[in-house]
Amino acid sequence: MAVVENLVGMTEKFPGGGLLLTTAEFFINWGRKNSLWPLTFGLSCCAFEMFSTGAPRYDWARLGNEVLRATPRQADMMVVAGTVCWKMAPRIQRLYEQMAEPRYVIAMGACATSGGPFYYDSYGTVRGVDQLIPVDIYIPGCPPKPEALLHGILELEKKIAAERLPGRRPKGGQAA
Amino acid sequence: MSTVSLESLRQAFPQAAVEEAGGFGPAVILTSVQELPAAVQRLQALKSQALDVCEDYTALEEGDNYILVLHLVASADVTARVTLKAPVAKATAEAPSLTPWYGIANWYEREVFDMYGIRFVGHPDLRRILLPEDWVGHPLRKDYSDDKLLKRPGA
Repeated sequence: MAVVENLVGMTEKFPGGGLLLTTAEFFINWGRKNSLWPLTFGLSCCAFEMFSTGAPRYDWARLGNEVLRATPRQADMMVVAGTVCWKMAPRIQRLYEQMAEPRYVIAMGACATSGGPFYYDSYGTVRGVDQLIPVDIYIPGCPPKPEALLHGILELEKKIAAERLPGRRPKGGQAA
Repeated sequence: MSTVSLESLRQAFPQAAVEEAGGFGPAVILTSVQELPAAVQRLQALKSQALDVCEDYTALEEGDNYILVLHLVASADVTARVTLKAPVAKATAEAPSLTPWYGIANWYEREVFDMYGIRFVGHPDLRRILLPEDWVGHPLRKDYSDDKLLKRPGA
């Protein structure tokens, strides 16, 4: 019963052993949150912190993030790491639309969340990538440390774990 | 340290103002942008040190003029540097292209066109280089504004 003991609260013991009981919803969310495929996508200085997070010192593969994919069709998570300019905006929307569903977006750093240092007096900066595509997690910082990005990924995994399958009502008293 | 001497520049440019310009060697300040191609040819053929590399080519805005600013370097000796400046009247905003003498001027002039709207006569491919192709206006002009730009309050 080692598997059951390692998954406390996620599975139920069955008298006599030999069986694991769980819900389809839990099982699907568990698979999704532990196998995020990030898109190779960095825009400026935040991108280096993101690469650092993926490199051996911080190693986001521990959280289930696999290697960065070089095509949006093989990715379901996008870290918008850096300043989004108006010339880039249609490309970001297109990449997002090409990503496999269900897809998730992390806005990393001050520029991607709000425009940051380029909020005023900038002709080229989009004030927050959420003006273009839906964002799941916002990470403040200029740039955020790899620890902050890891925290953001953990928060995203919590969010995925609480998702309801299509057609199911939200859990009573909790946000869906 | 070998730099281009003020003396040799004054000989080459008897009409233009030649002055020491901080850390980037001497500056030659032309009175008209039409003299620019001839000045570049003279600097490329300078006896002491041929300035055959265009390290930077940009513009700035001053009163009724845009000032074209070139930073020229000798490939044989990177301490030999000269700054070349030429005024362009805002009313016409036209300048001769330097692409025949410096190949890299192609992209630099496209950037200056993009940001200041100066048209380079004789440029082989004068399109925007940084901003989207459908952009309206030239954002480094001091009178630029658009409906997306937010002014800093109190500034």
